[in-house]
Amino acid sequence: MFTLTYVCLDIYNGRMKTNPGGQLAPEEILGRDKLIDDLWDILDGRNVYMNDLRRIGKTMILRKMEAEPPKGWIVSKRDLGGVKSAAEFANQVYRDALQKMGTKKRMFRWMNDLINDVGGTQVGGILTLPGGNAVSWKDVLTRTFADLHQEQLDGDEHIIFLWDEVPFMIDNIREIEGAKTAMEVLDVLRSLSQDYDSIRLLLTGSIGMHHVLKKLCDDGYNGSPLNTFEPVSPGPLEKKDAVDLAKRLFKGEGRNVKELRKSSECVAELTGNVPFYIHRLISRTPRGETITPCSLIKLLDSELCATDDDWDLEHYRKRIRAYYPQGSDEKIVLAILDGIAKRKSMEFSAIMNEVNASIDGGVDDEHLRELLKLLMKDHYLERDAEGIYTFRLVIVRRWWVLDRNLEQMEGEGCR
Amino acid sequence: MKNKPFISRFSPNRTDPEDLEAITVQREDLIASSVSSVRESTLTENKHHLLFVGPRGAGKTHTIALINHRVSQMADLNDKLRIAWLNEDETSDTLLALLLRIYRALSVKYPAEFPIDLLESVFDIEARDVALMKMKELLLEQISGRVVLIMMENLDALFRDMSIIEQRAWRAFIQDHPVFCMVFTAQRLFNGVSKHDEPFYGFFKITHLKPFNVQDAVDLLCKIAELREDKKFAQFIESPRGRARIRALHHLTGGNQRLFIILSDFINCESLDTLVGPFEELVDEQLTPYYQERLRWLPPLQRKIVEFLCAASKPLPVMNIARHLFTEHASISGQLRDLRNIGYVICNKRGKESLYELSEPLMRLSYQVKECRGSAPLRLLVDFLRVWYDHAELAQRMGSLPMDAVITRNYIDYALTLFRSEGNLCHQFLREDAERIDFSSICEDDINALRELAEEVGEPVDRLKLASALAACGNYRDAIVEYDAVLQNSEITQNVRSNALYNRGVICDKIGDTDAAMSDWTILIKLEGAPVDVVSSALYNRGVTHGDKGNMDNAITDYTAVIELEGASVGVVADALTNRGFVYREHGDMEAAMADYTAVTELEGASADRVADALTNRGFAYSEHGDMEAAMVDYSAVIELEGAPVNQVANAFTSRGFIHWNQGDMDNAIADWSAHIELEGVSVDDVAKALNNRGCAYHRQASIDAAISDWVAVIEMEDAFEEVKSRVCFALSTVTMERSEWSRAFGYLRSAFSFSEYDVSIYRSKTPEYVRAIFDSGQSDKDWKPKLDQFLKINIDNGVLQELATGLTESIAFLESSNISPDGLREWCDLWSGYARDHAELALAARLLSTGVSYFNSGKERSALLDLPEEERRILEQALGLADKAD
Repeated sequence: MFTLTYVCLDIYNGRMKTNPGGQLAPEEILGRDKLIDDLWDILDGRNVYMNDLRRIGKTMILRKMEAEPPKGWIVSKRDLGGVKSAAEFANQVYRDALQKMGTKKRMFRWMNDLINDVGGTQVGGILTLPGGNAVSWKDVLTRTFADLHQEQLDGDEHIIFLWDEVPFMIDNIREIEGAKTAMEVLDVLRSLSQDYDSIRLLLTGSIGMHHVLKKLCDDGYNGSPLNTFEPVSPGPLEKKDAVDLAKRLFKGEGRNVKELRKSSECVAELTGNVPFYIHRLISRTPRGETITPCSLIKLLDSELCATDDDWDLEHYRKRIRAYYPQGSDEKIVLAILDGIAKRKSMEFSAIMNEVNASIDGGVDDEHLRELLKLLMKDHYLERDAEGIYTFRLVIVRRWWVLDRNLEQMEGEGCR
Repeated sequence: MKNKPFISRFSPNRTDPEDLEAITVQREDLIASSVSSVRESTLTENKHHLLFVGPRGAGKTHTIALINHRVSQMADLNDKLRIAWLNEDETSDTLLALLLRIYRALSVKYPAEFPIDLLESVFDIEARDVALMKMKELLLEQISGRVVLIMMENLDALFRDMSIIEQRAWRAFIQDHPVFCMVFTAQRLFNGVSKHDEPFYGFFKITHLKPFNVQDAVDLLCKIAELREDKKFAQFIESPRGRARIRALHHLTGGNQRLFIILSDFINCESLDTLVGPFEELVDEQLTPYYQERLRWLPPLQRKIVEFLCAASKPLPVMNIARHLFTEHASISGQLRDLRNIGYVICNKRGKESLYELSEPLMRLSYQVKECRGSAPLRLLVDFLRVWYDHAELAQRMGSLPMDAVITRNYIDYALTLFRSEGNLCHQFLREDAERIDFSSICEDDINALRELAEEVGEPVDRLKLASALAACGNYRDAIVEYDAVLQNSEITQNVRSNALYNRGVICDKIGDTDAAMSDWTILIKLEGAPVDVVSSALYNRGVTHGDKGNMDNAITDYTAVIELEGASVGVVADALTNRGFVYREHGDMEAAMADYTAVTELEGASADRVADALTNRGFAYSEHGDMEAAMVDYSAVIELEGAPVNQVANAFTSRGFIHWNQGDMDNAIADWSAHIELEGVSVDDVAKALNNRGCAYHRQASIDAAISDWVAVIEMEDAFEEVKSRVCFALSTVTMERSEWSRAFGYLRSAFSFSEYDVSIYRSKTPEYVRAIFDSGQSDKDWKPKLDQFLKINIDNGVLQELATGLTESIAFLESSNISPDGLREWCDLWSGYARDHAELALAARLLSTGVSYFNSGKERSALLDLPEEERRILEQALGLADKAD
């Protein structure tokens, strides 16, 4: 597949059209090969829960994994965001398994037993009892997994389910069938993943599972359905890949770029190496005008300041109240983010000073550490090996400075 | 002129696509790119989803109609692409309903491939989730490996009807079955595609269709004219008068494409009678229900504001709106902010004032039709007449109209009445555009606007503005032409004449025609009634020009005339004094120079920057004459002067720092250069220079680490002059060599040459130090050769072997005090001789070195020098300091 990818690159001559938010051909999903290799290595032994900021590229990673699996893996990918009930989920899993493995004669013995037991029919994968009632979804799921597990014990291939938008699905089920059913789905998933550990699961979603779990927690749920899953955050691309992507997009869109390398580096830096933002920024560059690093900075700033902006980075500020509702946590968090936004990077003691100067009564350093951990978990910040905190995404920092009218501490104007 | 092709005003998809192609303006690249995206979606695994956003009449339907037309024509897509253009008025509140709608649309266009009767199998299923599954299977089966292009308008309406859960289902279906490419439009950006937590956030490539600018409008009307084969009209549009009319029309339409197309029907029409009635009906049908609906959802005060703006003919300030609605300013301001956020109004800045107008000009038109229906002329059309025709033309048309052209007569009569009461609307619009121009950042459209104003209105002041704008863009020759035109008019006022003469002189001076410049200023100076400030500036400029030409006496005369001119401003008098002082200093008349500088510092009302200038000049004069204390006093005065420009203060710190340096007072030199570095607002280059200087002071103090830190800081300054960076690299290479950090030293030396600007004389002056440092680092060729090889390579790569040779020669004298053995010295010579064999530039220096070493090894026997011919011997004697002794 690497050879094929190389050949495709030749055909494209290193040019790509911008496609922010659209679906990319697997060979145009750049800079994720190492991550995907690492994911396959992890999946050899464990399930994975992939969580990261919206639009970081999780779905495209799944797409590439589906298109280019290593030998011995059978991949079933499904977007579960449209699933509205536990039964629909179970049936979908069964149908997907059937589609991938159903040609094998010995397959689905357990499921076939179920169908025979209940005298039901299987039409296009919909299981109904003679009276027309749906078969128990737990049975469907359990038996499907059992069948798959058996197949893998007998054979030399693994099946993996790449499930996208799992949090949406759980949320849908909670809304429509109630919190209890949603909790049951999570519990069943956990136990299946543990009982049938030859089947691999990679779950991801546009919103973090912890948001959905929080709602269920309010309803009394205290399970940890993902505690055996390896958490993976893909993060942005490596700089060199981001620059490469930018170059290809500039060429593909036929833009008139002065100093292609510098402008591409500028795009990568401004967007924090996030492919979606790179596609978007380049798609917004004007046709017919010469593009320079300076014009790119101005363009991004005007986009972020527009009244009808569709970047919605305001989301990062608005959600602070919901994420940090206790006492003066919201104010402390704002002070932390303001400080780091102004200075680009800060160490703990400097953050402490900044917060103490802004908040009446100051803040306890343990509490500050806790908040910083949460900010990292919520992908606002990251910390390097030397303990320096920065915004995880440069573009969010840039927006933060503009939105809150902060004075930048270093020249960030045209270069 | 052929029969007018039908250009639908409200339904572009009813217009012949070929005609749509013919009148496409501004969006050609966008349409081409979008078609390319659809092609790529069809032929590859990439799938693009496009959303065009713009208010009514912005050209959305036109755009997607053309996309549809073009992809339909592409033969290679025939078998691979199917197009489903959905009716925007249908409702789809579930994914199932949407898929049904898509299938039906495909069935209409491709009945054989998407038989409608197959849907019966879906309708037979009661359970909705099963029906959905069946529908998905059916659709995918019939699509059969092809790609479906789904096109639809008003996507926001669809999202309003669909719940979040259904949207999630739709998104999942698209992701799982990448066989769809979507091209949609929307009136405005909405939460469903722009808010972070929504399923379709970031899913679409969104393009906001921009309103037409004046050039776009010209292009559109030209294309319509060409389509109608109306050459006369096409020529008129391209003329300055035509462009001026279109610019004024642009005010009426707000750049709305649809309005321009509507108004194009009224241009040149003989009678409005047959047009107005159907036009009003069409507006009523197409626009009124939509805008009524939009207004219905607004809170009462917001509705009142929008209705008020509908009736206004131009953007209005908040105060005006508040006054007419009997509401508090703050309240109106808040409501306007909300209206802006939801896209009903836009805000235009005029200086510090904010002016508000409707974001959708069609809303105003709809309102006018509703308000005026049958009882009064439509204000839009009346204003169109006022813009397109001048008073005389309208009066003439009125005179030639038949009596039964009642509607046309009414309109023209109303237009003439408004001409008399409100003046020339076209001129007003052109003037408004001219007043908005920011002369510090002029663009081509600004020049066009000013040119059109000048041509249309013809006032000399307008032509002066145009000339000024041309000059601001560097278009000096054209600016001169405009000034010439003004000056040829015998009826201009003295103010205008003075302005034109002065400015023309300035421009002539800029392009090097100083004789013409002087001539203009001389005429101006003698012009009776010319304003004093212009005369004083002309005298000043002429004085400067005299000075540049070396006519010092004439320069002094002119400066004196400024100083003594009654009514001359303090500023120009201060400048004249400073310059006269400078000229006196150049002439050696220090007393007169000092008197002039001092006069500036005592001049009441002189601005801080001018006082600083005078103090700096005086300080410099003092330092030239060795009175350092007095110079320091003046520099200190600049530093402490309130309001002194930061660059002057920085200059003063630098100069005072140099005095300290020359006096050997490094502490104070460092203090001054530190103060310079820390000044806010100083240019990057000045900071770099101050860091360089401070580094040198630290070095002199033997604080080498501090020196290195400063010099490294210069290298890391992205925007600093390359020459300064090169200079510090040379310095760093020297100190790191002194510390035997050879790798770093050579690295810095390479870097010094890598910048686009470097001063080779600095390198030249340092070569003896480099050579000596290498020599001192070892005892034999085993120690020296590796370093010399690297050092030599740097010299070769940068073409400075000659400078190296000179440095090598100068370094010979240092060998005397070395403790290297005679054999060691011989090895040193042999190394250089070896290099000289391959590099002729080093040959002489190598010979001199060899003889020099023989001289030292012989116990300084002069006869050793006789190995060299006389001219070479003299060089060596000079290098060894023997030249005087020889004499």
